[in-house]
Amino acid sequence: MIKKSIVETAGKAGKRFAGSSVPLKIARRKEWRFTLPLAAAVTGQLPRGGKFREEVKIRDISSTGAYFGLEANIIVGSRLNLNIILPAQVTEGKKVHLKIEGATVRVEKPRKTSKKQGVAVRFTKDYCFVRVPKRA
Amino acid sequence: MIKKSSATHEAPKTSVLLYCPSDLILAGILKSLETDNQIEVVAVEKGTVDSFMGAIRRLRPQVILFASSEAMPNMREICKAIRDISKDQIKTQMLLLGNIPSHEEIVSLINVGARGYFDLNDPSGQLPEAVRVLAKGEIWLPRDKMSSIMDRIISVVGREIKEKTLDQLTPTEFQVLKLIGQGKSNDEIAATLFISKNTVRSHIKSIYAKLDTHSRLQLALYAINSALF
Repeated sequence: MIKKSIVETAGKAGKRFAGSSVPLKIARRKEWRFTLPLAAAVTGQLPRGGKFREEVKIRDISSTGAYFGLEANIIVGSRLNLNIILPAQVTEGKKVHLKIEGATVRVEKPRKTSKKQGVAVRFTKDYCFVRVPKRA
Repeated sequence: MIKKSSATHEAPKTSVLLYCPSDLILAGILKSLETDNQIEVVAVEKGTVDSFMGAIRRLRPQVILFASSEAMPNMREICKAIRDISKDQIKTQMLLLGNIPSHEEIVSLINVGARGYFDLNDPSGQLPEAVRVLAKGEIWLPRDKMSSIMDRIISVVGREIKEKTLDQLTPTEFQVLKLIGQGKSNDEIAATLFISKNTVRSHIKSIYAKLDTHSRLQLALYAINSALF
């Protein structure tokens, strides 16, 4: 994947060429975005109070943010904690989690076939790797 | 009273400089170009490559036809020299005419400056069209070879992209990247690889430069991605 090569569709908020109905495509991301199907546990607070914890699968991730499907009814601005489980192939069998916090910047309506809404999160705090000790 | 000019505005002719040491091939090329009155052959060079280069500087043609029935070992250097000459003056486009069997060679010559290839076995009637295409700044390739040449170009480009990434790393840098992907700190990496912390920092700095990034998390994701795919 090449830096600055990802073309993002501007969507509803995107500019349009004068006299054209084609949405303008702008490559705004500066970092590589990886399509990594990593398992993660997302925790956060619902708009009406109450906490939630949900197992998700990351769709894509970069050093600045991530995108995944979430059933919990969160809104833009919600703070989320992501606990990403690194695959065993990478960690040589050890259990290592990547803990990172972020703010929701986009929530997409769920498709008819799924309850999950697409959630885009921008990382707000430093990450840390946590080694999970093996249970005896 | 001013009389309106009835002169029609003719499009400027495309100036062509031709290099062809073979009389027989030259006759064929000139005959096929005769059919198009918008193409003007400004000179024909049959001598040395040096005299041909001089003619390019002097005449500043729009299109150069470089015909050679035999493979020239220094063809890449010739293409590069012509590209360098044309950089300083009007943009001169170069069309190679010949019997180059290797698609890799054609791709390589286009890569160093040629703008097209016309096979001597192709229909001669297509040559004026090839000249016009080049004059417009486009590329000419034989239709039957187009798909395989494009495949070659794509594979070359793909290789270059790959070279810009992991292939650039030294074995130790690759090890460091792998350990970053496992969430290890600099101290842990130093202990694992039996090197000092400063050496680890130096390797990481080098990896940042080679992978054109500035974030450790990005490196970790890169390592995870490389390990999985």
